[in-house]
Amino acid sequence: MKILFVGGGMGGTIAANNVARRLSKEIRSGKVEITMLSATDQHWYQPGLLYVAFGKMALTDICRDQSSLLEPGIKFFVDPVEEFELKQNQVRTKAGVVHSYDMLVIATGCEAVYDEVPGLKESSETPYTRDGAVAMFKKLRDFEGGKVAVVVGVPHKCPIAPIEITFMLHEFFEKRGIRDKVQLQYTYPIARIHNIENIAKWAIPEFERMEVDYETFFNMKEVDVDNKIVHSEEGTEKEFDLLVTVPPHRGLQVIEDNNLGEAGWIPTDRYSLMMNDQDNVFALGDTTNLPISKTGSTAHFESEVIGENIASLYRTGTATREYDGKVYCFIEADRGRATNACFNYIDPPEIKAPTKSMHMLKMSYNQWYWSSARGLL
Amino acid sequence: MNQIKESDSVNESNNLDNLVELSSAISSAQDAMTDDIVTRLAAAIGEGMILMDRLTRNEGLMSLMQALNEPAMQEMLERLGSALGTPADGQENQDAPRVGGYSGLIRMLKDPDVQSAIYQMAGLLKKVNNPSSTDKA
Repeated sequence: MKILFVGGGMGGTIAANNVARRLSKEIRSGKVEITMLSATDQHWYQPGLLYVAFGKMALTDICRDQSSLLEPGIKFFVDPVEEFELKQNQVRTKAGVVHSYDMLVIATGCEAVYDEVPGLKESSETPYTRDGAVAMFKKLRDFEGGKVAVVVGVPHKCPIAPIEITFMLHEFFEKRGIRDKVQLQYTYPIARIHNIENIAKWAIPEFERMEVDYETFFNMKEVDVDNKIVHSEEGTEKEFDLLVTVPPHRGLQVIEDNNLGEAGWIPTDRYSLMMNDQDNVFALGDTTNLPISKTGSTAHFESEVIGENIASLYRTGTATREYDGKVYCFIEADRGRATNACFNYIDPPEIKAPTKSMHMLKMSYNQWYWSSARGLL
Repeated sequence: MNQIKESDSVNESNNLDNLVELSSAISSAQDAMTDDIVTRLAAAIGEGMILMDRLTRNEGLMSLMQALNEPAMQEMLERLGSALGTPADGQENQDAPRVGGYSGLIRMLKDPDVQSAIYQMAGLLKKVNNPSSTDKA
């Protein structure tokens, strides 16, 4: 049996390792073959970029060689897929190599796009890219006061990020002793300050305590680069001296080019994680069109389901598990504290008061991620 | 009523004081921790977990561990340890043999203990090369 993983990010890596752990004997005996195709030989712990942007981690802390994270027996090639030929059960890579499969897992992820908002890229800082995170830290370090606006595009990775970035900005300026010189302004595109109601309810008093101004129904339209003003689709505007953005995201172009899904999001069954109308193609992580959080934890929990189901399909011909929509997010607050949000398709999150212990757990997880990637944690 | 009794019991046995003391110690340790300390500790724990995972899922290593646990193997390991720490009988104070080379080697091969050791070593190597072979060598 040939199992092919396209994409070596968080989801693809954890899922491939999960399958390899379960089918290790079959891999050694040659009955099962696992192959991974990726665009890069590096593996980045993307949530770590937020810490890079605030000077708490370095880029070298959040990167490892992809091959070092994979279970023995997984064949790994740096050769991104350009054509998906699902009817023939094969893909064609950039190098022109054809890989056939019996099971395909697509985990190509998503990427930030700026072209929908003119002026945004050249005038804003973001922790969503490697270069952006480093540049944001330099800007923050040199910032001496003024108006800081946080603007949010949709959809975007990590639903908690807008609030978390705002908390961390508050803490950063407070520690530098210039918080009283900074007017911190938070905006959000819908009618409340976060799309998850309980998080919005919890965050409002925190914002008020931190003296963060907030405005809802603020959908970025364009940025006046010269005058440093963000205009919204709703007709309002925000002046800024420092603009921090959570940029809008899209699935990868290769997904759209191959007609696998509009805007690069693959239509996926929310429980089986099978691509719609396919019986041997899974999609996971940011790649799916599921209306749930696009986070590493989503990819992680989905990977466990896919790992178990692929092994089960091989051994018994039947999938055994369903994804329940589980998501777990740490939320960094100020003063060395953090809390978390855990929810699924049925149960909304209940947000507890931030604690130091939870912050320590988050700092620890930043290191333990490499165990997660290997399918251990 | 039961809660009051339990509460009295806690007070009488100084458990409450102990709990407060423990809580205070934990809080103090927490205050002393910095992000850097937590990061270093977590990294060490994380790498340890990965190492343990790799070792315990290595079937060859586990098989070797099982073999090493056999009483006969332990006895042999003890002899090996002892031999490594002690020169061969009668050799303690002797200089290197004046006649080495092939003739010295041939003299050593005539020693029944050396012959037995070579026989066992050859048998072991044969099994490593072909696990289904028997001791017919």
